[in-house]
Amino acid sequence: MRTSAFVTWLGVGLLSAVSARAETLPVWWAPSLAGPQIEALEEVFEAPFPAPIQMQGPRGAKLSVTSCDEAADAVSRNFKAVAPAAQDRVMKCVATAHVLFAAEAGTSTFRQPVNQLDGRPVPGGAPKPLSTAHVETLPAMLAPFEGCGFGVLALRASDRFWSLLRFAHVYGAAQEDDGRDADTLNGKGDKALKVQETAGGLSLRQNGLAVQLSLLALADFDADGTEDALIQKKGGGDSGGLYMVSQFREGAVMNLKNLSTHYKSLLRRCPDLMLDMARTSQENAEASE
Amino acid sequence: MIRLLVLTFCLMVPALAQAAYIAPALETTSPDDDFGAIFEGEEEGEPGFVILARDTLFGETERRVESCVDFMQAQDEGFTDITQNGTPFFDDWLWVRCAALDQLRDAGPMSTNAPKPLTPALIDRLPALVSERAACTDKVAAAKAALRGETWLSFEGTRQGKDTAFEWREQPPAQFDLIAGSDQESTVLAVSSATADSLRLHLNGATGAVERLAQFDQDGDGVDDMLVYVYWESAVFGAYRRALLWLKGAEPEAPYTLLLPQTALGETIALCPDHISDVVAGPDALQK
Repeated sequence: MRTSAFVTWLGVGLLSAVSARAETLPVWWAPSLAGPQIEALEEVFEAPFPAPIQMQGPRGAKLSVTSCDEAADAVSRNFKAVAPAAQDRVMKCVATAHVLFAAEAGTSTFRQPVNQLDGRPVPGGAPKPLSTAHVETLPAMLAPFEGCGFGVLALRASDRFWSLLRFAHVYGAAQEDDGRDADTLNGKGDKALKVQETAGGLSLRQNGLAVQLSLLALADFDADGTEDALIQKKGGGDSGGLYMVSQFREGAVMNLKNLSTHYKSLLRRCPDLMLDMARTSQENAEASE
Repeated sequence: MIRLLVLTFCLMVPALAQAAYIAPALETTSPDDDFGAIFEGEEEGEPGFVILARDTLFGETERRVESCVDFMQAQDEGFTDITQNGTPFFDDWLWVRCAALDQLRDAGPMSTNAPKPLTPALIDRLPALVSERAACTDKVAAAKAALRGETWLSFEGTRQGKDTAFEWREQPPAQFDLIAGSDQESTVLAVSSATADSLRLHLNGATGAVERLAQFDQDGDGVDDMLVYVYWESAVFGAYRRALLWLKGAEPEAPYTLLLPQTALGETIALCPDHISDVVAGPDALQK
């Protein structure tokens, strides 16, 4: 009797554990991509453009794309829109493709907590909008900057889990890395990082350079079970683009994904600087030994 | 008159030196024509083809190509896996041949005179990127050493320990010995055979080769450069390293450096994406 009760208890426990773990977070995308139904997203993906977009790829190959699915496919094959004005549209097509083929995540720090499980909040609700506080958790690569020099420093800083604010404090405001990052936030003068929450996300300005960050989608894009955020960075010259981030725990600096893609882009644009960096990194390593 | 003859001769010498040596293994008389030519099929008289695939969730997943020009275009667009090969070449050699023909399209007239055959002494002049080491930490270190002009043997000596040095013995089988202080520790590198265009190597349980595919003054500095195919295989990893490297020649007997260092760096990072921080220096580097 005691044995069968134990088995029943174990079975119920296991089943409830499985069902609790099986709960996943529905894929979310911003209204700027499409309406909330999956059909709307598919329609946007397949609908013809008002006018074809010209793209250029490896070895000077040219391509004319007439819909989002063609544009996303072209980008995945290393093509880029010829006209900078078309870049925004193409970037949204890439985001749409990511969303259509993404999985639902098991865990997330990007959602509002709505449910309770064993007294703990379970994220499952609407996405947290980008707020001023996010400058302390977004990776350095999303800071306002332009040019290869800052690009490579931002990449290095992101790889070392530096926040956007820490990067802005040290490299944008030319301050010591003294932990007083908040001093750089919303102060006076050009060197201060001005942050403003907008309807679509965040507006950042530093040293006369303005960028807009928009949250485009939340899903498990890389099948690791954790929810990723797809963020668009507009402005910032050559540092604009689509960035994928994840967060290991609430309040931690986010992990910038696909670092090698960003590195290769810098290597293509500024080979001499990147070669110098690689050589010097060796010298530094030797000097520290 | 004599002056004029001397001047004419001096002008002719570099013109003659521009003729490119292309190894017979590439089976080409005109790299440019062969780059665009339709592949030969497995059956004589039949056209050949290759099916290439890429890892993607959306869009084009496979592409059929019938010439090197289309093969290299597809490679650059991410179609890197050969899933079907309807040519007489092995997969690896197909890639080597197409990539080499691509590099040699602008080589100019081909030379009928073969350069000096390769000898094991070449080992002492190869850049660190030739390294057989399989771990990413080592690969990235080798790439950085090569960027700084370090030779393979110097790099290998550093990796083995600061008191080591390599010693070259002029007796078969040619071998480099690792010396710790005054005691010989172990043989680390042996050249088991050499043909005019290739050296077969053995190191730490791995077998490899350095094969010369072409030699001429690629960068126009008056000194011959060399296009080589480097590969390594072992019982543990199988065939784990293949690379085409342009070696930049300097003075005679001086070490070769990399002619296209950014390509080598990009390929290394593509293989070892988690090692970016190892190739990105701090802000001090920008102030130089």
